[in-house]
Amino acid sequence: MSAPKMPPQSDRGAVQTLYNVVETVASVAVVVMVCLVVLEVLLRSTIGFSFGFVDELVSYLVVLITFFGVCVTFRNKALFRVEMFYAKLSGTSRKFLDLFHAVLSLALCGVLIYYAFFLISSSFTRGTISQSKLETPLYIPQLIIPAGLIILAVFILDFARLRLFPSKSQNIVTKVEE
Amino acid sequence: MEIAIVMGLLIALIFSGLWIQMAVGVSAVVYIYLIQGLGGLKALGIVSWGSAESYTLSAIPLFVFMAEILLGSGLSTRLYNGISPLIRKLPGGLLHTNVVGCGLFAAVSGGSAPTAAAMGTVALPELGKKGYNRKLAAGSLAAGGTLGILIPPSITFIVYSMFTDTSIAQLFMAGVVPGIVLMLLYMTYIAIRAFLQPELAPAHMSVSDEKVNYRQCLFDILPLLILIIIVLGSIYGGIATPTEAGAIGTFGAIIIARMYKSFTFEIMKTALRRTLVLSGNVLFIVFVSMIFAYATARSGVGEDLVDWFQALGLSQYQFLFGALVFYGVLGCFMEGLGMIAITVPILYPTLVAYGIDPIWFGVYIVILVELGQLTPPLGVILFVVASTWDEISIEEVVLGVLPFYLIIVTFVFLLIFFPDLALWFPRLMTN
Repeated sequence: MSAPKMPPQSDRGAVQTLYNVVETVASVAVVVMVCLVVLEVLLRSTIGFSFGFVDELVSYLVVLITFFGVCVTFRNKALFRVEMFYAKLSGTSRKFLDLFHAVLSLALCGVLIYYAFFLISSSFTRGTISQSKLETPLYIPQLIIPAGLIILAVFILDFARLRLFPSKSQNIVTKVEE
Repeated sequence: MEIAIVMGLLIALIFSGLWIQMAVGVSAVVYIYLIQGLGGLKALGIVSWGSAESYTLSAIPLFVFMAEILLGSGLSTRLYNGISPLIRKLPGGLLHTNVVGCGLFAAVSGGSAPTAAAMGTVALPELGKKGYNRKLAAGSLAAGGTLGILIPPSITFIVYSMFTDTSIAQLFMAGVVPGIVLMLLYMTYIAIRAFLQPELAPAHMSVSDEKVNYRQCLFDILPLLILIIIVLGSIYGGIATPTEAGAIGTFGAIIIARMYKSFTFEIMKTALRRTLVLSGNVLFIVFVSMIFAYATARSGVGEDLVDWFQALGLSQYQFLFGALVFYGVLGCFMEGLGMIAITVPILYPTLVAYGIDPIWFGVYIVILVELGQLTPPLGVILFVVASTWDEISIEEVVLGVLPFYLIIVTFVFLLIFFPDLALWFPRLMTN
């Protein structure tokens, strides 16, 4: 007797899993940010103690929330856009315009990722560290930028794929309640 | 020349329906390429890092998170229930609840859309059921909703401060008096309309006999008032940075939600997701706009604009009226934050040349953004209010907003001729 055959894992499922991971990581970042800042304020106002590195950590968390957050926003179809003319187009024209938009967005991500790695490589080879108590090697937090942009590019590719092959789009992405 | 090409490209991309962040980003990269060639793009890495790594911006997700927790805990219903018995005897009755409720919610929310949505969902169906004039109800809600970006904490002020190096605390102080004055102007208009045409607000005639449970009203509103005082008071008093106030406010929001017995894991999860969606949108637009601002700074277009204005011989008032028309038109088509993030770095040298106080201009531009949010075809608040009740059409909302729109325009002129409306409170607090 053989084990029941599992349905093949579609890449749509993989993208959704990636989304879940991104959302979880960014959510944790928000919660950690709240806890860090509240703890710092409490300790400072009660016993006059300061960690001395909360500002730095918070600014790294902002980078994470920016780049992972935009992935969550994109996946929830909530990025700002002007749909005045777009909404009046026919289905086919809209499809081609979507693909054109995806190509442009991917190009932008590509350029930003390339130059982000350029910066990271420079920070790594020069051994650049933050001017603070933590002396963080800057290439570590800087890695968040290309990581977020690569994930965004994956989501944009998935969006383009679904526009090209709409029949495969059976699963609906998690939508934020409006 | 380059700026004309880039602005043309930006407008074309935005109108084609490309996500605004991407449109700004693509235009910024093209701009850098046009003025400095491929070599100029090498700076993109360090500019990206400098734009994204910001302690100041951390206040945005924290204030959004605070508001989302409160919203999830049923704050809008409590606000409505708490305020309405206290002010329903005024001419216009429950219509004032829209304005006061929005004003109070604005003091914990950083945006206009959440403010309008929070109050609209509760108030609009209720007012419709009680026979209030739908247009006036929708108009007062939409106008009240726009207070979200004027009454602190305001995400728009935080973004503005990023591009002008102004103090967030001072901007937050400068928004208070204009916010209150606008609220009072809305309420006066509602009272006059209801006095002249009592059929517009029929319910207030019959509610006076109902017994008001003041203790319940207090329980509904007081925790929020305390939170507002702690959050804004700590910023105004210089005790906490906006980030710290946001974090403490979030903590306070959790306590309030627990007190109302509505704090669950699901509410927390939804609040976090909504926080990420909104923060991702706002922070990424700031990120790409900072790259755009880098390009405009390198091109020197801001200084060229100063020379151009001076060659035209425009006075300060003429410049400000020009800005009113410019942002009024732009606001019809563009989202407010993007509008500020793209135009303010270009206009900033002109403000300095004209001796315009950047704190005052922050308030001025935020009110112009408010106008944009109420202007068809893209006025976001119009759609938010229309979506809160399925029995109201967008046309009714637009017609209802019109008188409030005129009130805001009148207030803009008041602000131009009496700048102390915005500057008095920050000056008082600083002294």
